[in-house]
Amino acid sequence: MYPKAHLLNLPQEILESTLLLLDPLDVVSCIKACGKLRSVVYNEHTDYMWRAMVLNLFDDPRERAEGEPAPDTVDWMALLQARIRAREVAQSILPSNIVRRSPRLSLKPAPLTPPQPLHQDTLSVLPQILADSARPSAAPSGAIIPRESKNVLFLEELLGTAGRQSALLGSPLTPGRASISSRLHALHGLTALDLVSPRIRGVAREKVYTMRNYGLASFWGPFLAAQKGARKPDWGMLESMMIVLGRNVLDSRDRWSLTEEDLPAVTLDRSRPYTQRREEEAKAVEGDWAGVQGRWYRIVSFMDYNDLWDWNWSGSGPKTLDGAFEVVKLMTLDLQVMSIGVPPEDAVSDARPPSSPSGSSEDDSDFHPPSSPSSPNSDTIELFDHAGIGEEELDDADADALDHLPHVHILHIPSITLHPGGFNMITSSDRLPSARSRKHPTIYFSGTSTGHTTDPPVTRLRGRVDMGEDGSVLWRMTSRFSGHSWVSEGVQIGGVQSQTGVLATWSELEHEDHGPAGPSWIWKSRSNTVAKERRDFLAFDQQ
Amino acid sequence: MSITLISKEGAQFLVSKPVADRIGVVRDCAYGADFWLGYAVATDDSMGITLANVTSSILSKILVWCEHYKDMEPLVDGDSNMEFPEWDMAYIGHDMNQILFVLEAADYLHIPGLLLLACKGIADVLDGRNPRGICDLLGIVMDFSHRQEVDMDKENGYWRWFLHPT
Repeated sequence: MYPKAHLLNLPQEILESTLLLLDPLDVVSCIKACGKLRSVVYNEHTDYMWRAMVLNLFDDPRERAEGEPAPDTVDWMALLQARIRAREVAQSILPSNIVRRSPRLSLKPAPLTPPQPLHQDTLSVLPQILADSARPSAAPSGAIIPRESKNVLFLEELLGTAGRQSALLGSPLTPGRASISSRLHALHGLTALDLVSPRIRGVAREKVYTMRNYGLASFWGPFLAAQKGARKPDWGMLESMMIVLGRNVLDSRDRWSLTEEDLPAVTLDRSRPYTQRREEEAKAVEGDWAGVQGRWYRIVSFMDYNDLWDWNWSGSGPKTLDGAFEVVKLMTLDLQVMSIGVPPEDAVSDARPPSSPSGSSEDDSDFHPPSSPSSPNSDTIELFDHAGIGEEELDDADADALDHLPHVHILHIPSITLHPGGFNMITSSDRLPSARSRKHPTIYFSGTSTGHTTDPPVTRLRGRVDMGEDGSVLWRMTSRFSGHSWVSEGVQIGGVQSQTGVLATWSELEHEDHGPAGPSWIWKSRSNTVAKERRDFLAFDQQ
Repeated sequence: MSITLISKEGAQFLVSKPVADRIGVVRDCAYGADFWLGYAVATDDSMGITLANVTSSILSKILVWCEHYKDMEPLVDGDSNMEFPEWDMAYIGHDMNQILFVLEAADYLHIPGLLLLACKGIADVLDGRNPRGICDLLGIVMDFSHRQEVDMDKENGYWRWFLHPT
């Protein structure tokens, strides 16, 4: 035998495979103990060990779905360090204090214990881990072949226990939480506590159905206000929408004729990119990076308008919405891509004269050509970002109006009506495409929405899908229904082509004072059936 | 058919073919020649194979492993999350010296499954120790000056924040 058996006498490759059986944290201890071990890991010629350690614990981040832009080169060491650090921080955070009383009722603000900025930055790696998870492949029929992801397992382990969930995800009951908690919660889906707590449901409803939470600054959608014209997801709002809609789905799912896999749900596994059904090759549209083409389902939740009024404006309404009554409607959407990158012909060609009321010609108003933003006489709200137009280009009257809305320029105030489909169909970003939006150009689509208690049962809609600056997938849809024009603004939870789908806020296109708004959820079908609702439960809709 | 293995000390071990098959060197030497020469070198028990680098005590320990795995496939590929069977972990134990002997023998004899298990054994011993603990375990002095240590912390960046207390 060798004169002296010693770990450090072992050949390099054995040391490597030994270290790879250790957790990265223990590898660091070894590195610090001894120069020989250190040289195994730190090698100026290759980052093999860092890469191997990443691939031990995570999916290969270089792997991409078909048609997805190739990623940049990977800094394996930085990647591993950021993720392990997030794991350690996530495991060490103490459960935040959940405030007992609702924030509406408490007289003095509850002591806030938001995670320190350090944690917020560190933990923001966690959603990225989900976004980098393995891409499932699709069968020729478009069906997704399920594939386990190490990244999802990693996050599930981190968020597996009720203690970790309350520490990291928390609930809307805690005011002033870091947005990363809300974001993780929205990606994770309902926790065991969300399923049973009437107060969490109530607080989420109070956020979603309080009309002062919506406005031009946030595009009447789940976006942060005052982001210089760019739409950035407001994760606090999206989290509340997820809770409201998630609980509503659980209450209503029994009267829907949807298969298990078509039922909407938020789970980490579904909040991965590229998990939604892909279209068969014959039907797929070239360049449709968001997978818009095809069949989708949608649920819309709303409160009776009288209840909504009582809650928002009467001053004598209920104190909470714990026991509020909501209606849930299910629809089937069939969407077709119209154009990619450039607005469809009719979107820019002709503007309807402002004198023509939009309701006069029913048949084409649903599908009507939106107003051109360049024609100053049309009734159009246009939103520019600062990058698009400098301050000096505004005249004084406009500049005054901007004082209380610092980052949004209102050029034309709507007088009476707006054309459905005209709102925001064209924005300044179309004229100034960013690097990211060149890879993911705007997709313009049109389609039909089929409900069962609507009259007429089939309505037309149109919309667009954009890639935001932060990589979020932003949806916008307009439709006409029961004599009003509606607009929905939403964010796809989990990014490009996630099975979880889009959480969107619907509102009236005119956005008059005291107009209603509420949450809706759009997700892609996996089986291509038409969603049906049992009518007997819907008697209250006839009122 | 069986085959005789001879340890460094000259002790003879009679093993059956499935057990010997686990040992890459023996398999290649005794039966693999079949492939090249058209006939097997070892056709009967009369021939012994000398394993000059392996002591009797280690060889007998290794043969226990080969006997256990004569009918099933051992793990040959692992990562930091992998759980090894209980029997394996009990077999390899926590004695660093012993593991290293097994590891060197497994490397020499070409037994990938046992090699991985030995690596796992070492990893388990190292697991959860701080740098000083590892130095004590290996019987080495920390060979970094203070200055280098500071540099290394910088290199490791924010790792330091959650490193095991030293």
